[in-house]
Amino acid sequence: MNTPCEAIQPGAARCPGPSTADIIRADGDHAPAHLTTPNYRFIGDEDIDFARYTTREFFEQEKQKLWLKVWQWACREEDIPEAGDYFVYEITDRSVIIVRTADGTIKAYPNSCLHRGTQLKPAGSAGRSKNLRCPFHGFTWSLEGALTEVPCRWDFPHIDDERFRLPALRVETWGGFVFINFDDQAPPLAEHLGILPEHFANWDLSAKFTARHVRKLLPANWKACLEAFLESYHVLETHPQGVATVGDANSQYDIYGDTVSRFVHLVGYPSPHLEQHFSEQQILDALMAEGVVEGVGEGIGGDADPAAGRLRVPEGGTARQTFARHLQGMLGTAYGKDFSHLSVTETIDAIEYALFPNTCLFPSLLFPMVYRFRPNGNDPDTCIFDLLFLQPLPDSGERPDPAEPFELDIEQSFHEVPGFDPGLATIYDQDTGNLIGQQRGFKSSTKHGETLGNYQEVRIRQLHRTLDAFLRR
Amino acid sequence: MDQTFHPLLDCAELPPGASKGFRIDGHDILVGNAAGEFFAVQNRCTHQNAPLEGGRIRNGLIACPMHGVMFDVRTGCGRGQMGRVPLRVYALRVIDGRIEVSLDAAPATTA
Repeated sequence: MNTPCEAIQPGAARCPGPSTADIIRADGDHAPAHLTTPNYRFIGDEDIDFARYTTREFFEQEKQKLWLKVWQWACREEDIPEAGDYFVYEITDRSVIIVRTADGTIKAYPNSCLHRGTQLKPAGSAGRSKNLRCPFHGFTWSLEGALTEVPCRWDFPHIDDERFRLPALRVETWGGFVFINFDDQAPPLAEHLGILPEHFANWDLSAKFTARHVRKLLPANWKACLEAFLESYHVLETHPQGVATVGDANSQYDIYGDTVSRFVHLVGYPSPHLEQHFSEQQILDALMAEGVVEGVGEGIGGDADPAAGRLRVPEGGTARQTFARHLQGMLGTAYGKDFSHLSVTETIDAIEYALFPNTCLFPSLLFPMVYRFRPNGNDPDTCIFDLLFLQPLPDSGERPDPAEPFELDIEQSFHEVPGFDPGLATIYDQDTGNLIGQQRGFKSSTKHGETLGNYQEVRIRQLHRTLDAFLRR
Repeated sequence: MDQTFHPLLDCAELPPGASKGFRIDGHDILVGNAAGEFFAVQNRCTHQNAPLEGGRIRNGLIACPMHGVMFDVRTGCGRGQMGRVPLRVYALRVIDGRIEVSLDAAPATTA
């Protein structure tokens, strides 16, 4: 066992070799300054209790003090484009109807009739209605929440129409996402978003559409599932097939305030774990051979002009630059857009932002993903994973319908999703394949909690610190 | 077996997302356009009998405008507790740009 570097402060140690910021600077282009400005601070090294993932008591606290108090996105604006469009969102045992009203504003109501409590719209449904009508006795409300019909009104002289308006929950939007909050006293969404709007100023997620949606049930607590995606420390062991083309141990980890964190995970740069030297051409060849992401896998090699042969790194160029330009051209053609203004890192790197409590957003061209992890009803041991691919809207202005979720059960593989890139499916299967073992391991341990790396796992620690702040309120 | 097809309307009258109800020999039939694909199903929700006409059609599903039960327009299969009974699906064909529907059941569709 080697001894840690005692001379430096906790959290200050980094993987030997060039930093992520060094490598992005070496691209020699106009990468946003914040990507090369590390924003890490040491926030402790205490173990994280396993009970936080497994006990009914902790789950109940989260239900009352987290999910009923925090801003959370319920759907995309594109899910409810027209007046009367509604979407039913579920979190723990709550159900909420998100509605587009006649004047275009968005309302959110508890999905419950004020008469005898029946859900006004079925769980998991979405559609368009002129009004909200209870399927039990027909009590009806306008989209704006006004009571409009009570069958046998003569029997309800004690109903005051004004007091029988549907109670409205807080609603705000950002980046094409519709956020709700059950708490009237919650601070504005902008405060919760922190630095996100500033960083995403040139990465407009509202100008994208949901091209794919996979919804998978996972066999672990929602936090464990989310945490599997908050670090790239696991790449070497979990995804050994990709280490020639991803810088894993030199990923950059940043935390911003209490609610936002980020990693910048390099693509087109070999893992520092590898001892052999790769030429830029070898790295490019490896990138081209991998299906890194949907729509790219087959196209990478397939679209190259056979007469031109394989893609070459020009003299003095790098695999990252060559791959980025190739992708800009290829995806530009596919989406009818010009992506040539993007820097290399904004084109190919896995830049992942996490927004507390349960969402990850990727701004780069190669990674169209959004992740969301919700508890599965009242079960601390399972989680609903929503994986969305947000793709650029075509310049024609035509907005395709958002994709319907393709549902996968616990035992199913991402390879079962029609059209899903096989390389990516394997990665997600690997990521989610460890979860049942982790959830069971939590319960078998004679140690009280998990021990986190100071740097690479700081985003997990931030999640728990912010969660604690909510639970203390 | 010969099927009798009833010409109902021109394709051009039914843009994607639109639907229109018809009554033929006592059958309430909804003809709709799901992203360019025409379909014909019974125009009565199996949940509580509301007309489906005008319900939002997206990703091959129609949502009943009354209470929101969703049905697959190809198979007629409903979703959830309130959609246990499938919609009847009618055979449909397009002849010279005109949509025709038969009262006979559509050929079995494998979902």
